[in-house]
Amino acid sequence: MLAMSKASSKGDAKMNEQKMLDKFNKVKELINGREAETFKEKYFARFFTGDITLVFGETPYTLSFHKGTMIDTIKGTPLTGINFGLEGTQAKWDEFFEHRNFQLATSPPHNPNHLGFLGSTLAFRQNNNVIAHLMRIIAKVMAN
Amino acid sequence: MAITGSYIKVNGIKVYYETNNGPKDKSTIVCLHTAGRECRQYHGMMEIFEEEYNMIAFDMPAHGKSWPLPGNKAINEYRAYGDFVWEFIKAMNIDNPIVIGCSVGGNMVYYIAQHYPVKAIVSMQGSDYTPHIDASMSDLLNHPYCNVQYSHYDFSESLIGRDASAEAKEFILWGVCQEIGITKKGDLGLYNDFDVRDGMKNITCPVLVIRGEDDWAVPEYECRELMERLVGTKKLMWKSVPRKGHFIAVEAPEVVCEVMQEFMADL
Repeated sequence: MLAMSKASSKGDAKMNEQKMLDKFNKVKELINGREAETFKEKYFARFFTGDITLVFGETPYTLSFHKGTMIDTIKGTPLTGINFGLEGTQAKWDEFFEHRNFQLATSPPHNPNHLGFLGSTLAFRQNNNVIAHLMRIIAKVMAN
Repeated sequence: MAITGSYIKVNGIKVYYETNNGPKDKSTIVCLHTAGRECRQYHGMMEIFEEEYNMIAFDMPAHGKSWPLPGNKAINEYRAYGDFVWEFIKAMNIDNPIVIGCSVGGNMVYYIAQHYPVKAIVSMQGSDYTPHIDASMSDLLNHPYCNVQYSHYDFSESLIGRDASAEAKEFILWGVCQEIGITKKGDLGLYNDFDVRDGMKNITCPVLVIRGEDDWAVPEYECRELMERLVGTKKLMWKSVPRKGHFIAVEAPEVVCEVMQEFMADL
């Protein structure tokens, strides 16, 4: 019985991971497609090459970009360490996916349920426009 | 358009100001800009009021076309900021002013009304206590590897209301592109330290509080709380403006002027 439930929870986790990766593929389609000009030009992503790591509960995903084009998503953190990103419980992420206000989601003085910063604070500020627009697209995709 | 600009020396600093050259038979309206920005934010209101009220808006030291403090510094303490505003008013020989301001300027009017003889104040997107800025942001507003205009663009954009016109939105974002790191850090530092709650009971002049509802940075409950502390004011008026945001004097000058007309009618 125990073995079965372990297997089933492992199976659930695998399914969730696959669902998340599918969602990030949808994000990739949008960010490289109809959002590409806004992302690269208005929000300056054409200057961004690097990784953004997002941790949902305990599970990290890393999105890789080259000059504003989204290349890949992996489950896990980069071998070179986290450049910058955000982390939060699923409840905090769900709250953000609903209001979709990135600046509110990342403002501790305004929001007790804010998402936490990961990695380099300097890199986060330097690329604030990039991550802000990316996160709005992720929120749309996650909330369908 | 009757707006003209000029300079005056205040405490040895060359300060740029603009006026709509309105009628001088009523109290002059003195306008305070938002953090990091400058007096052009009041062009919309100045044009609407040019036949009715004399308005003067000025650039604080290190903002817009005003000179910085000696050593290329900006004011970074809220009492010094408020006191400088009053020095400007005195240098301009303005008696009995109506002082209006937005954001940090909207905070500052409360400090000024607590310490100086004003006829009335109008606070837009202001508060009496604003520990709002996270250290991870403020430390990097003036950093050699972090461009203030670029790193702050989305933040400013997020404060704009849903119904702001394209023209207003463009002007607000152009304002981000013109910001100076030293100045912005000074303003947001003093904004973060701003706390005049204890003195609110001492304000006796009429007060108008205006808030664009889409402004997530200055929540409505803060305005409600500060109004509860205004126990001595002769007149208190509150206006909540739907679908407008933090830069309300730029986003909705016609709405602000209409509310101010009503507020000032019996002053």
